[in-house]
Amino acid sequence: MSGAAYVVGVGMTPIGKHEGAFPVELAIDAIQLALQDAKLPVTEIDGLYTCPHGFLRDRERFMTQRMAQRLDLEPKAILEVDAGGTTSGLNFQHAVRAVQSGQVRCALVYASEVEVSTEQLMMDMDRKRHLVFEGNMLIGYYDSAYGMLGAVPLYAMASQRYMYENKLAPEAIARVSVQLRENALNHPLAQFKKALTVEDVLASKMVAPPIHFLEACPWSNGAAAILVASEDIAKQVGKPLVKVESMSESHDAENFFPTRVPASRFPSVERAAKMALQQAKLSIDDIDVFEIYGAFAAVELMCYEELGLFPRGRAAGALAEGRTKVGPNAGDRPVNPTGGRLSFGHPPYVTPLAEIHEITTQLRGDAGPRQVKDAEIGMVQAEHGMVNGASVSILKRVK
Amino acid sequence: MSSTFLPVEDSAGERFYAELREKRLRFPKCNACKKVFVPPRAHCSRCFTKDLAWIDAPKTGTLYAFSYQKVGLRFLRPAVIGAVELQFEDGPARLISNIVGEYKDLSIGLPVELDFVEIEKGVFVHQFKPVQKA
Repeated sequence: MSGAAYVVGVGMTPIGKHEGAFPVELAIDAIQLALQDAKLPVTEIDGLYTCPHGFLRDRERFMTQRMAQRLDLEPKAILEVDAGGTTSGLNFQHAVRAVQSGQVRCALVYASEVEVSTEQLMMDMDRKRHLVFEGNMLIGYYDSAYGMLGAVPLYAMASQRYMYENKLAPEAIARVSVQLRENALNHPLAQFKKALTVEDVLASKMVAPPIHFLEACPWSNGAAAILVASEDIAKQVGKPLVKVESMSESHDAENFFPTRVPASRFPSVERAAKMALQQAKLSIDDIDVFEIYGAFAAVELMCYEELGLFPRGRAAGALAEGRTKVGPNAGDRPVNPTGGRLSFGHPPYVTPLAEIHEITTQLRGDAGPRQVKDAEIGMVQAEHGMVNGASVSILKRVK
Repeated sequence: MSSTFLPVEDSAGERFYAELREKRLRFPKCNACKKVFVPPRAHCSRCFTKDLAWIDAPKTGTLYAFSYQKVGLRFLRPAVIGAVELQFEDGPARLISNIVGEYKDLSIGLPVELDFVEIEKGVFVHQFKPVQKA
């Protein structure tokens, strides 16, 4: 039997450094905000879904069970998920299915990230070995022989191929950062508050060519919590009903830099979007607002094309024309009202929930200066590795 | 045998680095399924045989993409990290490797040839350099 599931409460901390914070305390902040948003007592929660507190931290276990103890709850479902950047996107989908099946009535999906800094890890040999181990786990055994601690050089190569194949100048990519920063200025929780120009972006230090510092996602921490509930609880809450209309995930037979498929394409994103739209019996033109997982400026454009927002090679031009703008001057493809991963900030485990937070806010009509007029249907997308897999969910405001 | 900072996930990894120590870049192949495994693995992904033939990779390829890294444990700037496209019997595959040469002198499509570099005592990995004109 399959009922419906609704997003009934959303909560999020500011995204930023949160130096020295306990991740579990940030989680509680976000959870409290979500419960206040839904006007629900904590005792309504009967499902707990979470994920690690960072990629380079020491691995913790029994996180949901310790949260059950912390909140004095006896859940009917617990789950800890670890799937790279899609982690919270998939976790959300698992929680939705649990509510749809009737296993739980009110699921709490939360993520809190306080990452260990590379400086801290490089300080002693044991820590360094741990960092290398984690680096190898992240990048893959063979590629990691080349000493990469993160995927940036790999993303740089994908960006280079995309620019080469589509004959895109650096300015075309830099414009993405400018547009996203403009969006972020209107989000109170965003990490960055200063407007940017194309010149600023191209003058910023080269991280791994062609990626400039201001074209790369920042180091960010923070927490978000989403309450997913059954129809009867959703109706009690009394806010506009935000229904989970469809969900999908799709993955490639690749990990990080693809061996056998072109690096300028993300076929898993294309497949996931098609499946989610098909399931909801919608076309891409029916989506009023998007929150997508672009960790780098060129990758953001590539995702726009894979999701079907624009034909291949045309995303940069469309963005330059203002078609991705949000707020009162929204274009026909409003994307990343938060400012996206580049300007809102990007704690990877939290990001998919930050996307759901914003789309829910938009569909309720509560997005203030970021509001896309009459937004009724929204799409969120997350990815893992070097976009070797994606999750897509479609939310719809219903009567 | 892997080094402290070069773990392997299976016996194919051990074999891969043993071949590199002998200045050979080899990948396992399943003759029955006609699949060459890049990256290496200890079993065929389709018929699961562990009876794989190790074949030589081509000695030349083309530079598919390249960048450099500033943070890392080895091959830091100005060394270039690149993806080299090699043609195998079952189609092209791209390999992440170190590229010998200045970033500014390299270009997509440049013909490159196989070389080897010792990253730690007794531990060799592949790298590629622009094909030297005769």
